[in-house]
Amino acid sequence: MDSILAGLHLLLAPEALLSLFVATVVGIIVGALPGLGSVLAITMALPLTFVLGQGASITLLLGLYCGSVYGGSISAILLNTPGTPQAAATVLDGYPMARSGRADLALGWATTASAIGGIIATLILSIAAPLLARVGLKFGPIEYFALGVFALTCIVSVSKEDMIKGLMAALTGLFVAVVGQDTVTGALRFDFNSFELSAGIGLVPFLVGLFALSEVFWRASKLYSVESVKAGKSRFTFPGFGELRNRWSVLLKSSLIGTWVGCLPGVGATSASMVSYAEAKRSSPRRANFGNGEPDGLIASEASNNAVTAGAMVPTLSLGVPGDPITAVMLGALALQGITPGPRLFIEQGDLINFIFMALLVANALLFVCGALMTPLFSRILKVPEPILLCAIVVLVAIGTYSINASTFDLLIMFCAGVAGFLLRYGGFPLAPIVIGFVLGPMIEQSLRQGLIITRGDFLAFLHYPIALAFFILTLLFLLLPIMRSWLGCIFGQRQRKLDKQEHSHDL
Amino acid sequence: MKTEFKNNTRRLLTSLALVAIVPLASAQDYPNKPVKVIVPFPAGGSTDLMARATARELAETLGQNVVVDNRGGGAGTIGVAALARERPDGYTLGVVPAATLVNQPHMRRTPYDLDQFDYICQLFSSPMALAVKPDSPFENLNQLVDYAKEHPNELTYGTPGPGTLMHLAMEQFLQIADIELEHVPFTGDAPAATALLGGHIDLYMSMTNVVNDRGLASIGVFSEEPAPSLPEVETAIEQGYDITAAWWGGLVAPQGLEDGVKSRLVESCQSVVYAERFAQTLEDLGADVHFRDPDDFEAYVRGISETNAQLIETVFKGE
Repeated sequence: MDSILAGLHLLLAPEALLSLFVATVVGIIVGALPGLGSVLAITMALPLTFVLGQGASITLLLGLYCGSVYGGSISAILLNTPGTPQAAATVLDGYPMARSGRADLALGWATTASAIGGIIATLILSIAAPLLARVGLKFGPIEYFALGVFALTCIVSVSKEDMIKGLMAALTGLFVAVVGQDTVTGALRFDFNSFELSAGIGLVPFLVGLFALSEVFWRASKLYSVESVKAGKSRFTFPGFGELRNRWSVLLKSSLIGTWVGCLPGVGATSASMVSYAEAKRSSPRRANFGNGEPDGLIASEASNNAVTAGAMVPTLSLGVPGDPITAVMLGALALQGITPGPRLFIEQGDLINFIFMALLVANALLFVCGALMTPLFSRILKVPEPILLCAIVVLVAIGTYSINASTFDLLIMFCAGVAGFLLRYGGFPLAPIVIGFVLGPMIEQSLRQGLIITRGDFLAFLHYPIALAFFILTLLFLLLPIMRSWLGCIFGQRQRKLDKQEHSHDL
Repeated sequence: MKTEFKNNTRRLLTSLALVAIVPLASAQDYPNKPVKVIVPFPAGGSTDLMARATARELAETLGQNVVVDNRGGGAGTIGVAALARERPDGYTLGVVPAATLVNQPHMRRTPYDLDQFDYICQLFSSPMALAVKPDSPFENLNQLVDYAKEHPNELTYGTPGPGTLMHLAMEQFLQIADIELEHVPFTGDAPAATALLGGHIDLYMSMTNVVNDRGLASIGVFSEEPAPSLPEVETAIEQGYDITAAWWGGLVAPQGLEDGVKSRLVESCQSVVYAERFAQTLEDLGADVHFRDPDDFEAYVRGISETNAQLIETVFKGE
C-alpha cells in the first residue's frame, strides 16, 4: 500500500503529468505519420531524458510508446497505410470501414479498443508481472518455433479471396526476409555482391513501400477513371454501449493475446495483432464479414497491439530483456536514469514499478481524450484533394524512412517495394501475407535452427516439449477446422445456412 | 562534387593566405562548427549510450556541439562504411566497438579495411564472463572442462551472433581447453541471456554487467584482474587458462586527419577519460574506462584483427 501511494506521488508531480500528456499527443501524431514509428519517437526523445528528472523521463517514454502504437491505426483506417508496423492488421478491416463512409466509427472503435486493451493488460500485469516473467522464461527456441508456426496460420485468414495467391504472397515475404547475413553461420545470402544488401532488407522501408507507396500508385492510377473517394463524416463517434457489450468477448480475448505475446521477448506487437486477428476471425460470430469493414477485426488488432505495450514492459523490467526494439531503446534510457531492470528491480524499487504501471494506465486513459480531440483533425485528411494528399504521403514516407538510418539505399528499397506492391495489387495478390511472412520468417528460421542444434538435429524431439506440442496441435486444428466445417456444412447444409442467416440478422 | 571543389578551393586559398602568418591555422581554429559522431548501432544500445556519454564530454572540451548520428545495420558495418567514406576534416568521427573493425571484415565483404581509419584513442573495455544457467552443476571452469571432455558436444553455449567478439572469445577458450561444445547463436544480447535464464542453453559468454544485472552466476571472468562487479569469481588465468577477452572500442576518424586536428582530438580524448561523469556512465553500463593512445590503439586493433582472422578461418571455413 505504501509503495502504491509512493508511486502515485511520483505520478502526480506536475512535470510527470505534463510530460505524459505532451508525449501522448506527440506519440499519436508521430504514429499516425506513415514511416515514422514508435522507435523514432522514443529515439528522438532520448536526449530529453538527460535533462528531465526520473519521473518525467519515464512518463515521457511511456506516453510516446502508447500514443505512437495507437496513432498507427489512424492512418491505417484513413489512408490504407499502417502508420506503424504494429497497425498492419488494422488496415484489413479499418480501411474498408472508412471506404464505406464509416471512418468516424472506425476511429472510435480503434480508440476504444486501444485504450481498453492497454488498460486490461496493465491491470493484469500490475498483479501478475513477476509470475508472467517466469512463465515467459519457459519459452526457448523450440517453443518460439512452435509459436511462429502457429502465428503463420493467420495467413489463411487474411487470404480470403484466393488462397493460392495468399500463400504465394506469404512465401514471397518469407523469401525477402532471407536476404542478408545468415544468423547462424554468418554466411551472406542473396546479397548479389552488394554491401548494402548484405545487411538485409529493413522492415520499415519494405513495409512503407509495400503499403503506402503502392497505395499511392494505385490511387494515382485510378484518379481519372473512377469516382473519387467518398469522404466520410469528419467526426468521431464512440461505439454505442450495446455494440460494446456485443463485442466484449473479442476485446477481452485480444487484450489477453496481446498481453501474453508482449510478455514473450522478441515477438512484438506486429505478430500479436496478426495472431489475435486470426483468432477473432476464427471465433467471431461475424466472421463472414471480416475484410469488408467488420469492427471485430479492427478491435482484435488494436486491442492486442496496445496490450503489447504493457506486456512488453514485463520482460523489460523484470528480466532486463526487452521484448521489441522499442523497449530496447527504453531499457537504454532507463539505464541512463540509473535504473537497472532485472529480477531485483521488483523487490528493491517497488515504488518505481507501481509508478510505471500507473503511468501506463493514465497514458491509455489519455488515448480516449486525445483520440477524441485529435482524430477529427486527422479525418479532415480525407477532404484534402487527392492529388495533394498523394504527394504529401510520398514526401512524408520518404522522410520517415530516410530518418531511420540516413540511408538512401533504404529509399531505393522503399521504392522497389512500392512498385512490387502495386504490381501485386494489380494481379489481385493480398499484401498482408507478405508482411506476415517477412516478420515471422526470421524468427521461425532462427528458432528452428537453434532448436535443431539443441536437439542434435532431431526434429521429432520437438514434440517432447509440452508447450511446443500444444502449439503444434493448435496449428493443426486451425488449419483443419475450416475444412471440417465445410464437410459438416455439406452434411448439415440446411441447418448451417439457417444458423448463418440468424447470426447475420443478429449482427444487423 | 561542385561544393567539394569549392570547399577545397576555399580551404586552399585560406590556408595559402594564412600560412605566412599563422602556420597550421585550420588546425588551430578546429573545431569551428559542430562535430558529428557516427555510431554504427541503433539508439539505446550499449554502444549508443557509450557514444552519447563520449559526445557529451567531447562537446565540453572542444567547445562545440557534438551530434550523435546512429547508422545501424549489418552488425555495425553499415555505419563504419559510412564513416570511411567521410572527409577526414575532423568534423566526422565515429565511436566504434571493436568487432566492426577486427571481426566483420573477415566475415563479409566490407567496403572498408583497417588502413582507411585514423585511430584516435581507445575509450572503453568491458571484460567478459562465462555465465551458467540457473541450477547449473558447474562452479568453475575446471568442472566444466572435465565434464565436457567426457561428454563432447553435449553442452550448448549461446552468443549474441556468429562472428561476434563473444563468439570468437568462446571459440578461443574451447581451443585452449581442448573441449567441444555446441554453438547456439542468437541475435543480440537480450534473447541469448533470456535463453540462459530459462535454461534452454547451458552457457553464455557475455559482458560482466549483462551477467550481473540478471542475477546469473558465472564461473570465470576473462580479464587480467578480477572484475569489480564480480569479485568472488576467479579469472580464467587464475584457473589455469591463459586467455582474456573483452568488449572494447574507441574513437576513430576517416584516414588522413591533419596532424594539428588529430593531436587536438587526442588531447580531448584524454580529458574525456578523466571526466568523472564519463566514468560513472561507463560504470552503469558495466564497462571500464580504458585509454590507449593512437599508436597503441592502432597496434592493438591490428594485432587482434590478425588473431581473429585466423580464428574465423578455422571456425567458419574449416568446417
